[in-house]
Amino acid sequence: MVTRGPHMTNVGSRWMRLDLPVWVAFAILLGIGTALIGAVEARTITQADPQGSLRVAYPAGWIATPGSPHLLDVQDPMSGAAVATRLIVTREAIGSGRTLSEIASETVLARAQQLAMYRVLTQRDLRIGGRDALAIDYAFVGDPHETVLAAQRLPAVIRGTEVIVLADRVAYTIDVRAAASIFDRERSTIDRILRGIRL
Amino acid sequence: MRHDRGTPLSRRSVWAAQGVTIAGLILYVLAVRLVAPGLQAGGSAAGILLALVPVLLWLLLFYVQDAREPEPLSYVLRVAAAGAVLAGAVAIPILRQFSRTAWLTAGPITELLLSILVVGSLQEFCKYLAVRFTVFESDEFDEVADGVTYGTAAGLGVATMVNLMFILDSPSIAPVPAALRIVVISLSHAASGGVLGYVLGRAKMLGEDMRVVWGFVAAVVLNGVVAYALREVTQAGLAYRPWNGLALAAAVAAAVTFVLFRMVRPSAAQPAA
Repeated sequence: MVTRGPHMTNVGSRWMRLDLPVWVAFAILLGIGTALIGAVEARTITQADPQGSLRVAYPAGWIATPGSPHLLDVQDPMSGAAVATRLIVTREAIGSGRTLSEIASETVLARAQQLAMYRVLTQRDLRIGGRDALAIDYAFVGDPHETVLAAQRLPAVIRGTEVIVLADRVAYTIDVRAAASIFDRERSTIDRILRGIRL
Repeated sequence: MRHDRGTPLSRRSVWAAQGVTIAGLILYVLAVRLVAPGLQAGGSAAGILLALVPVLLWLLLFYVQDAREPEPLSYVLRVAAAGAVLAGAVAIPILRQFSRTAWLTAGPITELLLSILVVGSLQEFCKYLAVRFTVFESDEFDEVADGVTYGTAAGLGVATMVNLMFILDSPSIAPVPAALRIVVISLSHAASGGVLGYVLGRAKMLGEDMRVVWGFVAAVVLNGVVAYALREVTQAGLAYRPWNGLALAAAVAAAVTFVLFRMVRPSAAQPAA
């Protein structure tokens, strides 16, 4: 025989005494945590081109890629994918009269020679730092170096967005790439980086 | 009245099963390590098998030990499955939206707070829902110790889904590190699930409904602190030391089992509400 106390007979009362405090506590804890995450994830480090006007802000936890020749090359050490999410900024002095589309075409040709299975997915115009720019969404097959607990390293598909913008007689390329498996998750970070560019 | 029958003296087997499971999981890791030289890094199938072993081992030991009056297998499985489904459908997708890099570089105090407030609260809420809305109102839930059993089952369900996601996200699995990680996560979730189940057991049998919220907060804090501590003890510079994590998780699980055992004993002497 099972004894049923008053607490077992009044579902509504039990909800008020047992469940509601737990749900409220959960909402408060998660709410505070989410607010804290917002504050933490908004922290950025800003790098400026010492010879130009470009300023780029990237997430505070990202670290410099060792030995990189680029103006700025940083990556997320905790991407949670086979390859680290990475930001590469380059600058190139250009002669007068060269257009954005010409530089974009040269960039695509160069990448096709440098990167395995390089494919342009889309190409679109946009405004970066108040100037006209061109964004190339692309994919290629890369070699993973950061695979966690993986004894066998399979090639990884990498997706990225390379933005080309002209400032005075300099062409900047801002290239943000991530493993295709997490690219959609990383899109908000990529968009935040691109929105934060100042010229 | 069944709930007056003297927990845990008549159910000492429940606690023995908890203790033997901790030892069994350590032996499981040692066995994997022993045979690891003969194993190659495996894919998802081998990894899934590794991930399911803790919950299967617990179920087996629990029913061997608790043979005198076991909880119905369907109830325990239902709670574990509910914990796994809730973790897979709610907690893990939400946690994946956040960038862990920002957390890990925000400083130790912020990292600890986030581990408690976000990870701990989401996972413990899943365990709470898994117990509360499956077996809590059942007649089979008729001892405070049953709460510990069902809370542990919910914890192992959550841990199994966390481990499965880890396996499925990895292209290849090295057996020993994977087994260590799986066991560590299982032990820590079983411990915090046991705490939550204990207060739910007291609410069910002693009518202490208002105390459940404090038990929930205690489980959230335990979950978050242990998760943070596990990261701290397993990282030494760039080196990964998973055996430190196993030692810590086993110690926490053993301590929680012992404390709950001591706490259930006086509650058994009290009349039901």
